[in-house]
Amino acid sequence: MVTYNRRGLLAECLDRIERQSRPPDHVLVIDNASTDGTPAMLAERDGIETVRLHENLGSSGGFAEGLRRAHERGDDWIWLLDDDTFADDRCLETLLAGAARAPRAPSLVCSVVRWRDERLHPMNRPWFRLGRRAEFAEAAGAGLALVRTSTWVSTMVRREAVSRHGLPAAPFFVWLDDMEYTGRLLRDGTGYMVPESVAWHWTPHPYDTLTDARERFYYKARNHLWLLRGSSFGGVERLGYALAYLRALWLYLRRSDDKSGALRTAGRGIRDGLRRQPA
Amino acid sequence: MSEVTTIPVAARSLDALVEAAAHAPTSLLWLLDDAATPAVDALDALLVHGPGPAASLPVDAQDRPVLPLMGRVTEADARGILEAIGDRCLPLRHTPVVSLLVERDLVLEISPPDPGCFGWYAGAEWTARLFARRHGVLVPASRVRVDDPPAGSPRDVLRTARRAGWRRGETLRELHRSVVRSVR
Repeated sequence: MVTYNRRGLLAECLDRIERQSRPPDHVLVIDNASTDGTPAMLAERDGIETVRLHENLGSSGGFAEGLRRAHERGDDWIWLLDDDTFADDRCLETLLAGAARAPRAPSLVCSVVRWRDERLHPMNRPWFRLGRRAEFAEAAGAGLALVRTSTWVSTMVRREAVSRHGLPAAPFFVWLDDMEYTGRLLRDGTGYMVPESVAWHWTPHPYDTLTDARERFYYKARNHLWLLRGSSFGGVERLGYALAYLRALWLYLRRSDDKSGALRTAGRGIRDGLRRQPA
Repeated sequence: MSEVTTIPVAARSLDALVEAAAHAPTSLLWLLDDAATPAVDALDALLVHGPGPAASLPVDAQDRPVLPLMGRVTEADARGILEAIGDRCLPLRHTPVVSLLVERDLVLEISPPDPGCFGWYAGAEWTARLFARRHGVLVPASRVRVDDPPAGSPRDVLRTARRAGWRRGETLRELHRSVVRSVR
């Protein structure tokens, strides 16, 4: 789990982990230098390993650090959770059952992510791999959905996939870092969504990277370009993703009340996205 | 024990078969192409998902799905797809009639297949209208072996697209597939 200044949400998230019908063997929390009393709350809990980073490295930096440590420990499966993820009591058990019945050895399995009112969370809507029709039907026969990407909200990654593909790209900071990583893992790998494994993404609103029109759109504008230039997608997928980028920019500018501010934010993102991604 | 009903017509094409089968004295029909060999549990698996329209997964001799015969999975509603997968099936937009379980009353509700379409496009055209009325599903656990899938021409694709109201992308994909198959 990766957290930053969400003490209350993190406590609830950890409560849910404790209630799992099949608890994880080891819980690791990466604290992105929180200043809201998170370390004190974590210190009061038993059975949790905490790593406090010296500065906020964003979700990408936090998950990169967490995955590196879990990989070094030799864990077979690494379950990734954002700090505002509320896992259903059988979330992990059903993820493991899904991985066990998968027709092909999966690089990752993930949960269905809902918002507070039970709708599919727009930020975590599944990207089905319908193009691979034979594999998709094969997966459906096993009660699994073949997916192309996943998010940090309840995704379980196989250790061998981390060995092969490495860690998330830390410079992304936030937004699309999960798409970059899981897209890379699944470009030639296999990933499944397990319909009976459910987690709730407890955001204040059911927004996604488009409708969340805060200053954070800068990261969307920048990271989307990095994603297009990276190795996560290729061919037709890359073309589709490029068109989605243009649509996102257009929608963001059209919906924004402060047009000049929105232009500046998008412009900064495009400028930095065209530059080389830091190592 | 199966009860065999004889239809006293020569059903040379899907439209004739459907028209004749619609008058069979049963409430459920299992429409089966004569080139298809169903697995022993194929009908059982379809009945689990019935009585709504349910199609088998066509496979080749190596048990690999025969892609042109699989049908088109709906892309509109992620939630619907997930719910269907939870029931071990997939929502379909249309499918060739290789092995299809369907209610007789539903068959009577819609007009028969376009006699101008040939091969699997006749099934795709008809099931597109059938599934628009009642959700159709593909049942991967129900398998039928098809060794030699019939071919269809670009003309069949265009005719099917016109009648079934396919989107442009869908029509282009089917046209491409049809041309590739005819070249082979």
